[in-house]
Amino acid sequence: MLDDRLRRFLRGPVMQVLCVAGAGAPPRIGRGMGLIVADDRDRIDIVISRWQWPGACALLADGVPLALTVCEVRTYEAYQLKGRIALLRMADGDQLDLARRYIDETGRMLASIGVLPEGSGAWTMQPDALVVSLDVHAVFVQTPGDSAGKARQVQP
Amino acid sequence: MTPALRELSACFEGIIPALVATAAADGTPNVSYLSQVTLIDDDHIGLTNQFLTKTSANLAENPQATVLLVDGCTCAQYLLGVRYVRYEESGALFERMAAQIEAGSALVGMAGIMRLRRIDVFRVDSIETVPFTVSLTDAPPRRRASLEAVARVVQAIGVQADVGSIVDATLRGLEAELDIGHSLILQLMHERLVTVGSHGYPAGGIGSEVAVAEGLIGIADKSAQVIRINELSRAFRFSQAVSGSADDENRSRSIRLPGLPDALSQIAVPMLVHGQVQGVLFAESARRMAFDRDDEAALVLVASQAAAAIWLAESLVADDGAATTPASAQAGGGPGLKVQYYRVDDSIFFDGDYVIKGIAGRLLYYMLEQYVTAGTVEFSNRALRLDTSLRLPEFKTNLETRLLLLRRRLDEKQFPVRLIQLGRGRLGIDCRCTPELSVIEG
Repeated sequence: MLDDRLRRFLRGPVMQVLCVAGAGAPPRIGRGMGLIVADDRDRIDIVISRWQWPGACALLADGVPLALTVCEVRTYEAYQLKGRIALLRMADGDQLDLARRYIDETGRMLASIGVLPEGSGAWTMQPDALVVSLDVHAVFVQTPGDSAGKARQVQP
Repeated sequence: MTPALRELSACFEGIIPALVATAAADGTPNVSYLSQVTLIDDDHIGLTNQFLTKTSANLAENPQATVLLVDGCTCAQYLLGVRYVRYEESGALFERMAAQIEAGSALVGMAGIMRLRRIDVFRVDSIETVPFTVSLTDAPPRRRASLEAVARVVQAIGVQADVGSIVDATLRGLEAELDIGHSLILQLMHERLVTVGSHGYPAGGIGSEVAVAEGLIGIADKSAQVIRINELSRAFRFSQAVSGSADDENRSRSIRLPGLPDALSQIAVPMLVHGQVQGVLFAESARRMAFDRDDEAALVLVASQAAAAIWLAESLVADDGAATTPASAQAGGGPGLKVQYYRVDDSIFFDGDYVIKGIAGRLLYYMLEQYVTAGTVEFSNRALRLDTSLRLPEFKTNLETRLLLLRRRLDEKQFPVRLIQLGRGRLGIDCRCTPELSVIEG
């Protein structure tokens, strides 16, 4: 599922939005604040703030289906990764540092293209973050155009 | 405290994309970006559907969804619990959103790719504010459009009798009463929109043209819909900011459209008379989110009044003024001015500097020729209209408007030939030079 090109893309300043659905309840949304992409398997760790996204976090559990949309706002390149949660745990210091770096880097990028006001500090991080490990089973293109919605072909 | 849907107006400007989350019957979730979310009423929103195949399939199985909205000013985020109600593939709402998306996608170089397929309508059951740790504010708020202020602008337009005064009253009124400092009026002439009035720009750009369906202004004309963009991409601003020069004007025989190099917000309002677009009222600002729904409503009122007033002024002048051209004087005096008239496109150059082309160019050459050969210094609109050598369009000549743009172009460039409004339907030519006419065929 994850080839080198997609791994590089996921490690860039991409917007990360996850979605999880509970039985009989509306699907819930949460923003990711940093991704750790495994090199040796189709697994991604997503950092998410429980304080900001309590609805989505309440539905996270091992084995639950999860969708993650990632988008590079400068190019509109976007993908949706679908799979199941393999592991759920509290973020440690390294993962919180990763999230802070992500917030700084992505905030600067968004400000540089005028999406966020300069120096707005629009996003913040609370030390209550969870790390969701997602085993990716499918990747779909979401970049606007003819391929939108179609399965992404793995590139050799 | 839970905000009301109408309080989230800054979320519906499309500055920071919204997302919609749905789930299939088996619980498989899906989350997709949306290009536009629109407020329909106090309880309903519309989502534009271009590529949302999976979203549509999920909604057929499970109508419950969640929408994430982001305030374009403060970056505050809101989660809306929604239920799918219906879709629309035509009608006023659909047409308005389709034009908005066409303009937005054209601005980011994706014209034709992001075509609206349908609008999905949802009832909003709940609104949650995503917790925030910092309070964010944009620049100080601009004065809001009040009904009284709009009435003053409309009234100021209503007392004017000629096209020039109507254009001035409109654009000056926007700044004085609505705090809109950069604006243009373009009128439709021969399937081109031509700038006849500008306010707030170093270069007036009178006579500059926009093709129908080109950019924000052209799409507003083609669709007869208001187009409002409150966050222009930097790429677009850069392309707009490429500056023209006098040399370019002379080579291309086209005048550069005025524009703010750092514009973040733009709005183009079609000027309608009897349901037909006569022109476009355009405004822009270096502020983010400069034009909200109230501003849009205010500009629609002002544009309607200006359009009707211009139409009426043109119609009244058509029947006004003497058919003869009484005043004449000895031509000549002052330094020589080489006037080159290119018959191929009716363009005119003064000492090598581009002046204007098209019917306005033809009119100018005609008046100069009359001045040089017969010493005519005063012209009536009616006489111009009746002179078949000018080959004016039989229907809707826009003569008054064309003469206005010609007069202002000459003033703006400070040419030694000027036109002076002598009264309704009459104008004079003022030559502080000795024109030396030459016609270039082909």
